[in-house]
Amino acid sequence: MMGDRKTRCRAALRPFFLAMVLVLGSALAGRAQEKTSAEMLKDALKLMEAGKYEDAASTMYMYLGEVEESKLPRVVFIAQDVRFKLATILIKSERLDEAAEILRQYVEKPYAAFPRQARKMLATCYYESSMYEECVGAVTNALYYNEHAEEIEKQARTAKDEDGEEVEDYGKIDIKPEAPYTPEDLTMLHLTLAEAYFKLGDHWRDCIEPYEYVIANTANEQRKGYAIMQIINALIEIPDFGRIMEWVPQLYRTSARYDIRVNLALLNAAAALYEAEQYDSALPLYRMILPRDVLVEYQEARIREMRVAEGLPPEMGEEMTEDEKLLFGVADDASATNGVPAVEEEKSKELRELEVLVAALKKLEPYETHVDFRMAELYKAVERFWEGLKFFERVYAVVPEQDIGERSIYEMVDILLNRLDEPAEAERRGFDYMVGHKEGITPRQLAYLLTGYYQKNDSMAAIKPLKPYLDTFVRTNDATIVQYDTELYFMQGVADLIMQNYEKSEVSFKYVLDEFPGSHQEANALYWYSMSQIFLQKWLEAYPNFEKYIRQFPDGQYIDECQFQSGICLFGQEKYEEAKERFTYVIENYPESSVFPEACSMRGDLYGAEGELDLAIADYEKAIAASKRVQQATYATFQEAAIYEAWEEDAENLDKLISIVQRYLDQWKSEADVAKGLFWIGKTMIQQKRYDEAVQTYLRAIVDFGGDLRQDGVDLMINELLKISRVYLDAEQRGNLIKSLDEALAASGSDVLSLRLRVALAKLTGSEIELGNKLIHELPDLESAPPPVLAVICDASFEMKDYSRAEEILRLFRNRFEDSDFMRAAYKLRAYGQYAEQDYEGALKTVEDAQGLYGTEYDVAWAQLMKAQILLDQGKIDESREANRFVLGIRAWRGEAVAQATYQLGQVEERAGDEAVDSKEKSRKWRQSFAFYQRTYFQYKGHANGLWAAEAYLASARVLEKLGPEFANDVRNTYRAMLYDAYVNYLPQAEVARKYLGSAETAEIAAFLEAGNTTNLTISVETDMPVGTTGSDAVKQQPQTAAPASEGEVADGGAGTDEPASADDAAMAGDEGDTAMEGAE
Amino acid sequence: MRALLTSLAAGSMIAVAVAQQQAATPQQTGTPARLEAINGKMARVFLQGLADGNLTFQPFGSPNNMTVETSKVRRFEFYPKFEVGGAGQSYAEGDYPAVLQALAEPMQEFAPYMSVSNNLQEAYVMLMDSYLRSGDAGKAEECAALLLASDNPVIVRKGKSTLALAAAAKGDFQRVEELRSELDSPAGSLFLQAIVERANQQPKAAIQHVAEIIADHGNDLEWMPQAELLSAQLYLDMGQTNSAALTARQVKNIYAGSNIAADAAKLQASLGLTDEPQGEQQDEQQSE
Repeated sequence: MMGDRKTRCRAALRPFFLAMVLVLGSALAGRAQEKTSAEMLKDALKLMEAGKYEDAASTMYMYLGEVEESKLPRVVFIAQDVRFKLATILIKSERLDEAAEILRQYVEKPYAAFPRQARKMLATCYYESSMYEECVGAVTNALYYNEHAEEIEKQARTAKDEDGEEVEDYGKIDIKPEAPYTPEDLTMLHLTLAEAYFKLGDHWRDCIEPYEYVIANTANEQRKGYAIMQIINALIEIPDFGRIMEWVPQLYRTSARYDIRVNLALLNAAAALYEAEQYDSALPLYRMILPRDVLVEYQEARIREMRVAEGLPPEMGEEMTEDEKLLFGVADDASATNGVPAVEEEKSKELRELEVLVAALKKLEPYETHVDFRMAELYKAVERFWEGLKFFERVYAVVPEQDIGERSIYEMVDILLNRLDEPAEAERRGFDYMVGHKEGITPRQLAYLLTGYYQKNDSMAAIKPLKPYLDTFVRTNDATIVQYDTELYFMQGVADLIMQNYEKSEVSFKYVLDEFPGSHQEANALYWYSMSQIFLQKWLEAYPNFEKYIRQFPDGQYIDECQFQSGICLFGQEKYEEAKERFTYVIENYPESSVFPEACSMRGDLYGAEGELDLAIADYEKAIAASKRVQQATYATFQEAAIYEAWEEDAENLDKLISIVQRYLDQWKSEADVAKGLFWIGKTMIQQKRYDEAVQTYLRAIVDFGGDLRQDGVDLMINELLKISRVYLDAEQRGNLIKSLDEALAASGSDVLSLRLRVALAKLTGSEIELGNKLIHELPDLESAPPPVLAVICDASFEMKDYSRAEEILRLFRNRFEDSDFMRAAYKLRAYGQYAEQDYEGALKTVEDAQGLYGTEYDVAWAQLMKAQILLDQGKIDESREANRFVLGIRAWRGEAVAQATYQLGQVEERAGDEAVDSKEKSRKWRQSFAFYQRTYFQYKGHANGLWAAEAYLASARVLEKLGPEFANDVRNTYRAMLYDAYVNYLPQAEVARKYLGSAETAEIAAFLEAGNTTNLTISVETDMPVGTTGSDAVKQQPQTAAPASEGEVADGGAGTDEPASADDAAMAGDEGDTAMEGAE
Repeated sequence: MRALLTSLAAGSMIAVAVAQQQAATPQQTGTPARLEAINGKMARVFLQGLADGNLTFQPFGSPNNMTVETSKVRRFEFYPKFEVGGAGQSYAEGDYPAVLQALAEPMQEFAPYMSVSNNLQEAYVMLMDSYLRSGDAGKAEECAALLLASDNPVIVRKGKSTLALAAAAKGDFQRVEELRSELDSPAGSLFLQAIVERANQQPKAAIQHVAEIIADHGNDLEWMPQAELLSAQLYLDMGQTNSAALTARQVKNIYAGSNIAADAAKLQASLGLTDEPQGEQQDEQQSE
């Protein structure tokens, strides 16, 4: 087909062409004057029959020139017949312009035997000549004529000529009426009309109706599909996307996809719909597109079939075999040259067109991977992520190194991370890729994706393992890559910072500053580098860096922060005046800054330190007024409260204190640190001796905020309330408090509040364990349990050694109450549960987590003791020894924890002795072990209800037995000492001693004790422990006259005896020397 | 579907004519049909039964029973006395109870002959599928079993796949596996695998197999519609409601006019979505 330009040319040339035909006809007629028109006609027909179309056409032109003027019906009739034949010849010769002109004349003149056929041919000629407007007219005329043939012919018979005279009576010649168009003719005419409208470009709406006719009337699947495709294209052009979905399902059900033109049109239409975000329409179109090779294979098979059907060998351009010659015959056309079989000349137009299309298709690059990629994008866009992932996988598998392959791996990781929540799979693919790809932007993009995901999910620790990959990426000067590298390393620093690894974050940000000077992150890196130093209290180093930021980035995002932090550095260097000036600078220049309240508070602190309390209060008030975050208000409020408290104690100051705290609570409501606020209020009220009011304050706050599960400040208040109750309230007041709590519980409409109130009541009445037991059964689902409730459940479970819900409770705390102080009970329960299951690694991890959170606080000694015990169970004797000794050095753990640690040290040395090969070493270790056991029952008998002392007695006897028969008497004396010891002789462990000693001796001891006597029986064994020595391995038995002290007194005394802990520790730390563990009393 | 409705309507007109003829021959009983033998010969007969691959019938006007192997019969043309066009419409609308109400009882007479090609076979498949989708796996199995003897591989495959789906619905996954290996359709095999995985609470594995169908067998129009509907259901199972809704909408649009589209519309409605075209929804979103 020709282009528009050609169309315009031909339209312009048409009058010229017509004139030329007439002139040529006249000239030829003149030249052939010697021949009559009848002879010319005869010649023309002969030439036509001989297949000499060019000559036949010339002769016909001559003939028509000759008879042009004649109006004789017979001549007109014959001329019409010649015109029809001439048009047919011209079409065969592909002289379509000329054919169209002749046909136009034919249909306008009378005596047309084939008026329908001619009109159809005329339409085809116009179409094939790209004369689409004329084509539209011709088809419209043809269709109209088909419906109104009789009427039109009748009018023609009575038509008048140009002079107004009636023309000849054309009815004189009887012409057999031509049959109406067949359904196939009509379909083709409509298709031609639709195509012509479509080709015109601005008749999109007009083309739809004839296409619809084709769809409704053709049985040819591919033609139907093509027509639907064209309607879709027209609707895209209009645009009328809403109607497209009427057609897409129909198209989807046809086999039109096997048509090359449809297939290629699908590509364009689908792309247009995708661009227009018409995903529902684009999706099935993309699906229908066949891979190039599949389509080529299908169409080549079709070509072979068509060639065979047309009597050609199945394969084009090949010499026929003898068999094929026999089968298909051999053309004897002498014009066949260059090895091209002569039969090629006989191919139908349809076959030739198909061959051209297949050849063009073969020249195309395979497009299916691009289609897959687009499908993947499409599925992702419509949130069908699993399908999108699958298509991206296909693309990546085929072209991993191409652009779309790289885009695909990126998209896959993105989908897995951010859409399907499959981080493990995303990491696997991302890291695999990064291992094999060190260059270019894609590995960096993947690293960036992962970094972003970890950041979004508060998994900053996961960012760090990316660094080794980053370090292997090949650096370039490409600006985008440099930007990615900067960003990735910057995020490494951020991860360090958020994980509070300030040493590392200092290094990381320094790296960004050194490696990527002038980067887009330079200012931020400098700021966070300086902040890391601040966190490390490197005031001296940080100060010049903040100053550098101020100089280099005066308009930087953190300029106000840097001014403020410079002040902090000065403060840290104890340059208070300079610091105060800097805070003043911030206050005066950055009143809207986020650090303004902090600057005010810091200056307030400085004024306060100088005794300028009014100025300090003024600054705190400014800070409170400007606070944007609750923390800012909290600090300033309670600093101000502290000033009022420190000030001369008078009623006015205390009232002011209460009022500022109340103002803070009112202003910040649930965000406020209620516990702290009410602590201050309560504390002040207690100073004012307003105990009942203090209680009511707490009580009101508990009721007001206690229904909110996350308001863990309320939980701290419950503890405060209990303290007040114990210290300041008398029995009646305590009774009133219990009554108030009962009433609040009865009125509570909130499960969470009710649970909190029940815990408060249980604590007041000392029935926490009982409540915990009840709640274990009452609350199968712990989702609505606030931290104190979880804690009492932990305590009760611990008491019963029921660890079944330990993991669940700890998980709840971690997920929901990670800052709660009550979580320590959950750690303990969980660790004991794991220990009971001999999950030593799990228990050690829990211990580590607990210690990470609570350090060496008094009630977390169990963690260190358990760690030591696990290490011993694992046979790590030296590590266990170290772990136990660590306990002895912690002041907060004196007492029961030290008792246990001392006992465990005995176990450590006993085990060391058990495992020693050398008998001397064995003896030495057992003796050390004995010393620790003895120390335990001497010095710590008052702790843990004598538990460790009792165990230590038994362990001592055991070790003495191991030392040999010469210590048999010592064993006996140890058991005797145990029964004399009022702290342990009632415990179950004492039964071992009784059994050993027998009933007579046991009775003797009992009688001795019943008589009110006491004794201090000391077993002395020579050891190589440091600190003093008796130099004797004899066992001494000394009567003691002092009566046993009460448990409480001994407990206190015990604390005294092992004071200072460092001395104990020193005593136990030595490996050499002798010591005697003697009764101190 | 339109073609089916037209043919069914035409069938009912013929039924009237046959009924009139029957009235003239009161003694003959059985199922009236036109029998086309494999040699192309036609005969008006009254079918008496089909068992073990043998068809028993009486020629029109003769009370004598004749028996031939079903392999000698190409096709039956039945003259149903009931109107099945409405059932076809109900099926396309996903109204399976209505299909059962219209077809279950009257089709009983023709059911024994369904292994032979006939003009009610399509309606019978529709009935079978309606049983399955209404949760009556047992009835669906009964229907499917009758199709297995067909010499038409497409009909046999429909029977087998229905048997497999019915077995899955009953939780008989071993049977599903057996049938899956017999099914000559990679897409069908993947679909059944996904169905079993879904039943075993493994939606993630299931949707990956569904994605495989969509990616590798996108033009398999026998399995694609239900695979895509299953995709929507699996997204819902996994709590990805938005994806489920979008998938359901696409299934409804792409397979418009089919029962799968109707089922997708039901799913979409259950998610509380409107039926507006995509463009309008987008416009609304933009204006928001």
